[in-house]
Parts: sequence; structure tokens; C-alpha cells
Amino acid sequence: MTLKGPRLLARLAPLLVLCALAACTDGDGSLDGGPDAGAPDCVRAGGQLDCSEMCSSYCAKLVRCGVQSGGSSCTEDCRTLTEAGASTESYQCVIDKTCSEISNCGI
Amino acid sequence: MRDRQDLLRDLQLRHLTLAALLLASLPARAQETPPAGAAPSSTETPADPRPRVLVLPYRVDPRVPVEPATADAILVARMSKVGSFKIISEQELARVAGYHAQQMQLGVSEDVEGLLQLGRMAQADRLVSGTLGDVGGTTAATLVFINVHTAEVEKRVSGTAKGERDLILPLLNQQADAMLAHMIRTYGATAEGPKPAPQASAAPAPAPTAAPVSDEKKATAPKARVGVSPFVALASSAFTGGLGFALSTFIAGALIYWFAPGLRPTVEQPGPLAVFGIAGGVATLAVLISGVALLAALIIDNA
Repeated sequence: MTLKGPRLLARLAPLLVLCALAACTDGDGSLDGGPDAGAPDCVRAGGQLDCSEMCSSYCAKLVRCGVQSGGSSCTEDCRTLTEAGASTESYQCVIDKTCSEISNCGI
Repeated sequence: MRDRQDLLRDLQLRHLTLAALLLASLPARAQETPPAGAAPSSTETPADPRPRVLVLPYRVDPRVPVEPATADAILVARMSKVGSFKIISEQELARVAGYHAQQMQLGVSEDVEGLLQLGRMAQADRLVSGTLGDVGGTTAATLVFINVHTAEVEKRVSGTAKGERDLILPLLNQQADAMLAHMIRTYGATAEGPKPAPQASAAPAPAPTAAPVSDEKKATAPKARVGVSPFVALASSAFTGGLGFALSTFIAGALIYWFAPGLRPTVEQPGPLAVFGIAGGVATLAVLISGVALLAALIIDNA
């Protein structure tokens, strides 16, 4: 009796699980469209507020949810506002929520 | 579907709503507004050198599942965050609404020239006008920032979202942000208040605007957070460790199998290679179990 088939399958199973995980997550371990795990926050470096990472996550989340905007750079606009002192809470809220919940993220 | 006249009639009503929203969101500016019946606000222009921006109500296709007042509220809330320009006050809006009524009676269409006339009537320097349309169930939103003096469209932001309210509101938020960011870049102001006026003035110079964030903002800024729950971290560690062990035993076993034929196991003499087989099997089983646990942890963590 040959056991090659089941053995091969058993050995490939981890890779299959890994591929499945990579395919249905956002790359940071969170499920597609779901809240981003470990969402970045603005950091203060040399007295300046750096929100580039948070804004990238915010804009990427919008795109994943199907919100497409043209004629303006989402990340650049987000940085302009947050680094000028606008609250980061609404941006963090979008990152933390699922696509069906982000409409509650304030105005 | 309503025709254009109906939309214009709605627009007129919404001017008054927008005016109320403006006053609610700008209590400080309400004090600057002359009492009803006072002289037109042209007299306050020299005293307030800030550019005057007229925020017109959104024109919303009735098929779009967002109330016009909600779209207006988002835009007004964003515009109110920057003090480097003056939002047109209630009186100007009321005058514009009256003018709009005249336009409707005369059957004047609402094109760019019509918008410019509204801006001139309100003595505005710039105006913001937005539209929300429906294209096959997808909402298309456009926001324009027009220089009333030159008739130039200084900034245009457009975008789409699936025709669900949940995704339209974030689109409006983003577009209003884009417009606000453009204004901040253009006028060089912070979100906290007006920049010192470029014109010479006898008044003491306002506070410098170099500091990007107030102490209050610093205090309320969200702190860095732990990325995942301990359960996810544990399952992830088990999965990663098991996967590494399984792969290493698999590779080592394969190398021995191919390069040391004498050590290939038989039923009579299992040999050392059988140990790799057993270890690899156990590791694979561990990977499968921890993988399922990791999936469950992610789902629970995301719920």
C-alpha cells in the first residue's frame, strides 16, 4: 500500500494553510475589510508629528473597502491635516472598524 | 426622479438648514454676525482680511442613499476646522437663498456662471460646491473649489463608492479632507486658527502659527497600541514554530533520503530516517491544529 499521497498532502498542508491565510488577510494578520491589527499611530520625531504610516493605513483601508477617490492624494491630504493639528481620531476609527462600520467614524 | 426645478427648490430650503449648521458649528463667528436687518456684511470685509468662502449645499441625486443635510454637515464641519478663511455667515446665505429663489422664478440654470453669481452676491472670494450622483448603483461625488474673482476652478476632487451609505459617508469625509488640505496648503494656515494677515495692520500681531499641534491635541492623541490579542499571538507563535519545524524535518529527511540511500528505511530496518518521518508527521499535525487555532483567534479578534 502506498502512502505517498497522504504523506505529500500532510506535508503540503502547512503551506496550504499559510497560503490561505495570506490570501484572505490584509497582510497584517487581519481579515480583509476588517479592522487592521496593530494600526499605526502618529509618531513624534524631532518635534514634528509624523502621520505617514497612519495615513497610509487609513487610505489603504478606504481603497480595500471600495472607496475610490481621484484628483487628490489621500495620504498627502491626510498628512497635511493631521500634521497641522487636526484630530487623528476619525482616521484611527476607520482603521479600527470593518468596512460596514466606517460610516460611523465621525465628521 | 425629480426634475431640475425640484432639485433647485430643495437647494433653496437647504440653504437655511446649512445656515443653521454653520451657526451651530461656529459659535464664535455667530457673534461677528450683525443682527437681523442690519446693513449688508460688506462693511465687515475690510475689518476681516481673511478670504471669504461660501459653502454651497450639496446637489444630491435622490437615488443616492445619503440625506443632503448629512452631506452638508460633513462639509461644513470640515470647513469650520480652519480659521484662516471666513465661512460665509447666515445673512449672506439668506441673501443667496433669496437670490436663488429669484433665479428659480426666472428659470435661470445652475451652471458655473450661476454659482459665480451666487458667490459674488455673497461677496465671497471662493466657493465650494459639491454634487452627489448615481451611476448604476455607484455613487459619484465631486467637490469643486472655485475662485469667484477669476472663475478658475482651483481644486476639483472626485471619487466613487459603492452605493451603500456605509461607504458614501467615508468618501464624503475624504473629499472634504482633500478640500480642507488644499485650503491649508494654499493659505498656509494651521487647523487651529488664522495665520497672521499679510496686510499691514495696526493691531498686535496674532500668535505665531508655527506649532503644528496644540497641547490639548497632544494630550488627546491616541497612544500606540498592542497589535494583536495574546491568544492570536500564542496561536501565531505555535503555527510559525510548528511550520518551521515541519519544514526543517521535511528538508532534512529529503536530503538524507536522496543523498544517503543506505539509510533509507525498510520494514525490517526502519533506521534513523524513520525518526524524521515521525517528527515531521507530528510537526505537520501541530501545524494543522495551530493553524486552525490561529484562524479561530483571528476571527474572534476581528469580531
